[in-house]
Amino acid sequence: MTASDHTSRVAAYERLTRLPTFHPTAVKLLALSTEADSAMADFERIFEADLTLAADLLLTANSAAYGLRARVDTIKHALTLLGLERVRSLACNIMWGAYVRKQMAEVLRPLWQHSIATAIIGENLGTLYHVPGLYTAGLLHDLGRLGLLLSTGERYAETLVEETTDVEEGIKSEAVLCGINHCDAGALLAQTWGFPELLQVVMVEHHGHRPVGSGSPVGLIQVACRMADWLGFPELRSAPSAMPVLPQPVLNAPQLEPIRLRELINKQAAILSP
Amino acid sequence: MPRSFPSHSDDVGPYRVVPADREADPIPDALYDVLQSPSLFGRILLITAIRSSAMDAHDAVDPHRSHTPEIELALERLHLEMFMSWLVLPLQRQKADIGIYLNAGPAADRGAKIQQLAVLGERALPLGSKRPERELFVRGLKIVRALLNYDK
Repeated sequence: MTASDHTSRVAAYERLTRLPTFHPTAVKLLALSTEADSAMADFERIFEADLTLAADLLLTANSAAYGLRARVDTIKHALTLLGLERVRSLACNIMWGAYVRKQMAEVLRPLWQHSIATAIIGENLGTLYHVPGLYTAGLLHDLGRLGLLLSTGERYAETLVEETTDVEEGIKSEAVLCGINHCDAGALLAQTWGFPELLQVVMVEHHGHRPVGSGSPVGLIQVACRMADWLGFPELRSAPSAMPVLPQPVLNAPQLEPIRLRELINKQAAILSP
Repeated sequence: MPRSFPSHSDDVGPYRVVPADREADPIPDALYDVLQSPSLFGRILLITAIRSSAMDAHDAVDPHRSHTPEIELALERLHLEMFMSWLVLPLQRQKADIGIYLNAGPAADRGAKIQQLAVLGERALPLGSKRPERELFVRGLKIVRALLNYDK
């Protein structure tokens, strides 16, 4: 350890904590349990207090990308038709998009597509393994990259557009460049903003290799992140990655068929693009 | 036999301490335990305990357990150095180090210790540390607690 390592990590932390807080409504939604008896009423109350978000949610839910047969006119209807978890993930998607939109959209486009891809694959893996909440976890798993971009600006933007061959090397270089890597940066932001523990863990460990077993949410997001790279939505500009080692149930699942996934990802990325 | 003191270039590995003439040694015996602990987090907690016990003794005017100002100053510096070495570690390495600390104790205490990590950390903050350093330390421990909870 050198004094400058210590100083730059503390300085990086201070820069991150000065960033504007992620949407307060998102934080409230993320903290709600979908299992509680009062969940439906709790969700409705939050949307009643944020009419802009409610309007955006109805607009997005009625868009072609969601392909709903019935028109959704009220939040109550959306909650009944789509379910609490889906409404929450959709709301996070809208707010995340709005947060990104204010920044360097061109630099962030590949990262945005990777996040949407990981969210969609994560959600489908979650359905397969009966694990809820993976859309949101997939969508936000790379929050640290956005945090580093906003807190260090051009310096980090150059890293995002450079072609890279090795994510691990990239993680080491960003720690040298910014004082902290994006995994730690994301988790610290998530902790500061009061995100649930699962999101903090996913941010630290999304490049790891936990066994999926009977449905480890962290392991499933790791698989989703690697699949997103392989399907052509890498988090950094890089050569196409080899097909990851996938558990047998994933290989056999029709909802995780690559052509179907690519189509879904492209549709959602287009409609929600920053 | 000469005693080798830590170089601080190795930020996690145990310090190599060869006890020499202990009777002539002004450094409290408990410090040997600190320097030999394989976990940096464990070392921070131990040095905090030594300092706080000496502080209590000082308040109680117990000259046998309180340190001389020179020793207290040395302990304070060592505490701060260990704390700063900790802050540089990425969260995955902090988790690995705390894993070593937890494995060194009884397995039955593991769960309770995980839940108390942030509280233990708050008690182990060196006085000379700055506000953002203290925040980063405690936030990091809360995240490590979450990581360990998801290992179960």
